[in-house]
Amino acid sequence: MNTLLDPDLVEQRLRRTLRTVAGTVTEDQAFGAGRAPVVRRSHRGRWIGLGIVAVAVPVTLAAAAVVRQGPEYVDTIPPEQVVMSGSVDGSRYLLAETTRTSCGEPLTGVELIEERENLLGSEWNTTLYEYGDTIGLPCGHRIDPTRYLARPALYTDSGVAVGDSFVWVYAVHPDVTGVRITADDYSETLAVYPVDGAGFAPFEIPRDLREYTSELLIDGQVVPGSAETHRVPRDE
Amino acid sequence: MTTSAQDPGPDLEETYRQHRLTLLRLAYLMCGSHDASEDAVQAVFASAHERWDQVRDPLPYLKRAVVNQVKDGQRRRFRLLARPPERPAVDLPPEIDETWAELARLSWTQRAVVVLHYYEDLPLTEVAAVLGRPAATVRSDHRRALDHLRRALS
Repeated sequence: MNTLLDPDLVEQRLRRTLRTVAGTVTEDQAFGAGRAPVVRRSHRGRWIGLGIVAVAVPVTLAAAAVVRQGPEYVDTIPPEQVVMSGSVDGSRYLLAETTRTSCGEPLTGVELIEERENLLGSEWNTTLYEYGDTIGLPCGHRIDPTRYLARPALYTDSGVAVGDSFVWVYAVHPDVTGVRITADDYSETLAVYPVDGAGFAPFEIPRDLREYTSELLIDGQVVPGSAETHRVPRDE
Repeated sequence: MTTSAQDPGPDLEETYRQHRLTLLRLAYLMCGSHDASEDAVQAVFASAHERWDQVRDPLPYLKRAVVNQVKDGQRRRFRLLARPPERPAVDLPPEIDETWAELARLSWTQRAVVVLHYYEDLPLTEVAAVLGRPAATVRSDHRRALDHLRRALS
């Protein structure tokens, strides 16, 4: 039978753990060099310049509607900014070119917009995917793709829950033409959509998939060094 | 608190350079995600930029803003998921590793109480003020967190 730890020992251990873990966070290691951070930026209320196509209209993502005024509310998106749309277990989403700005400059990349998280009249709740290294600035951030453009095997990826599963978005070199996903009895090559000098490939992760390998392809050939195994972040 | 004409207050860029890492560490302990920490700190500075002339004592202000930003992200359930499990990029002693993993299993509020109390060394009454929760509730959060950790780490 285990004996409960003495409260003083727990407190000492907590202090030691918190200081040790905090000490592992350094500019170089955590947010700068090495493999680029997963570039995800949640977003509410900063997407501006929207025009014609309503995101949250439950009939069709291409239907025209005008909702509310002001950049912070779910409004409309010009159809030319919509990159693709899809659905996971009946939950629809789309990728659209971002119109966000940072430090007064336009950002590049795509927003993943889940329909049920962006209902008419609510605040925007979207996710931004960008390609390159994030450079933090006092007023926001900017993206530097230089290192990535020099090495086609580099990519950023991250996901968001959609429906009962996830949509995982790969931001890849502009020469990449596909992202191959393989698991034990599963294989799929994701389409790559070119936006702002990069490619973006959404992966609708099947509900029963727990682990898979991704590889970047250029004209059907695997980009050396691009293969990576991923575990799906399910709660259970 | 507002600055006076005689005291122009701290420079934002200098404050950013000086305290960014401190704030990233606090955010990381709160949420366990490098990306969410980065987002939170960036959002705090972007927001502070608009009202910087009113900020006299930047670090406490920024720390509180980071906590609120992380909390807000939790409340709004962004459901953004990084590669799990995000762990420190260095090997940690098993005891630290185990404790960190157990901290991640606490509710967000309990974890915030633990971080603010044991890392920031704030008394529980100040933790309550930062989190906007009644002091008695925070004492309860603290007790429950410790009870959980005592059991889990034994």
